[in-house]
Amino acid sequence: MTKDSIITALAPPPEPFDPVWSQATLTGIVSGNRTQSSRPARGRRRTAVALVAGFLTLSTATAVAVGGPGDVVKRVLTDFGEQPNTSGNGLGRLDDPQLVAQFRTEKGVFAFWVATSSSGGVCFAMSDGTWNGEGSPTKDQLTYGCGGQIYAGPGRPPEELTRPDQLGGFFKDDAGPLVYGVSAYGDAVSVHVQGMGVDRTLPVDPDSHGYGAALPEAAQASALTLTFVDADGRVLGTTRSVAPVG
Amino acid sequence: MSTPDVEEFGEAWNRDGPRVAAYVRRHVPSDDVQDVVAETFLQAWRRWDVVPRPPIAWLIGTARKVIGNSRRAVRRRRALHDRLVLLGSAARASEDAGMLATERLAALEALSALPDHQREALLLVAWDGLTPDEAATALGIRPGTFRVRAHRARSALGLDNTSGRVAAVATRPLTRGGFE
Repeated sequence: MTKDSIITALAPPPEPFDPVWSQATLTGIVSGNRTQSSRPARGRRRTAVALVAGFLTLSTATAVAVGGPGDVVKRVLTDFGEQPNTSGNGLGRLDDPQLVAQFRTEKGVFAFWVATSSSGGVCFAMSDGTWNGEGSPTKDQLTYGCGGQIYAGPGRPPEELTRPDQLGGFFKDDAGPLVYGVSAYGDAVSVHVQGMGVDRTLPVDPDSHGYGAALPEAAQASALTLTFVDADGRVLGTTRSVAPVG
Repeated sequence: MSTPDVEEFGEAWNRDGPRVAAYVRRHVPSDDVQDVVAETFLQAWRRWDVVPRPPIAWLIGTARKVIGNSRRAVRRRRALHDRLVLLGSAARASEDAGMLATERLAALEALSALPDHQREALLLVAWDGLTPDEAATALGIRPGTFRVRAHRARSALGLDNTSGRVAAVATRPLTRGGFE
């Protein structure tokens, strides 16, 4: 047998996928949104939500910002819920939106709000480099939506958005690395963020239980470990977040 | 998304997915293969309108980028031993390939010792079944550059010498009955 034929003979035969994994993964992929020029992919990725029941919408008209940022967000979400055939239908009474995190990235101000509702709905709004952080954002500076399905990661079936702590994660794109989210632990006062080149502690907001920061030092990190700690220094739990690629 | 798109994408998933997985398997530990494949096809779905047909070269090229972005994978690929382990886990078993285990090991060791870009060029054609032009697309290089890399890889392995044979020394310890 020649070297050439030996190497050719060693070619691995394609192995069929595990049918359960294959079906679940394929379903998860095609249920997500595809990039459209009218909508920034970054926004969808950072919310990690692929809406199937209704569409995340962007305003086509510029609204005048009245009230604080939370007031504007609540009005935008309420309006969204009143539009027919959106994932904002059936929310019941919308609670006041809570600011999860607001910080500056290489692209500008990143801000994220979450609001629950009396029917158990979860809505969110995000401004990603479009609002300068002063005053209140306008409607067209927000990306927003309610419920839907969350892309839970490669190899995992999509999840229904039912809890604020499902939102967020670790992201790397043209705005630089960043992390944000909502703690699943009500007693958490801080979150220790660790990864390649990253070792810092972020405060957890006592009202929204949110946290977030730009992480320029995370350029080499592909994943972060988040350790939630209470006021007495006790570890409440740990999660791992892998940055989406591409 | 339209139903025809979903159907075509599903066909690509079933047809090309295992080929992409075979490529990925020689670059990352087995635990990470499904993740890389899924991420590759997720990116394909997001850009399905512009993904060339047939998509295999684009998919493998994207998988390569996904792997390249994996810190774990990069770290693992640094060591020659790790490269050999990954190649060994991906390659066909010696009994299935109709060769002695030592022949297989010798070939894999030779492949592992190649520079990464040469080994990649060689195996995209020999193992992944891409044409040279498709392989160049997957690597994001010009076809001429690809041919140079493939040629150098073949030269390094002695594949351009038609009289070349796998060194008998490597096989003999397993022949038990002595030499003819």
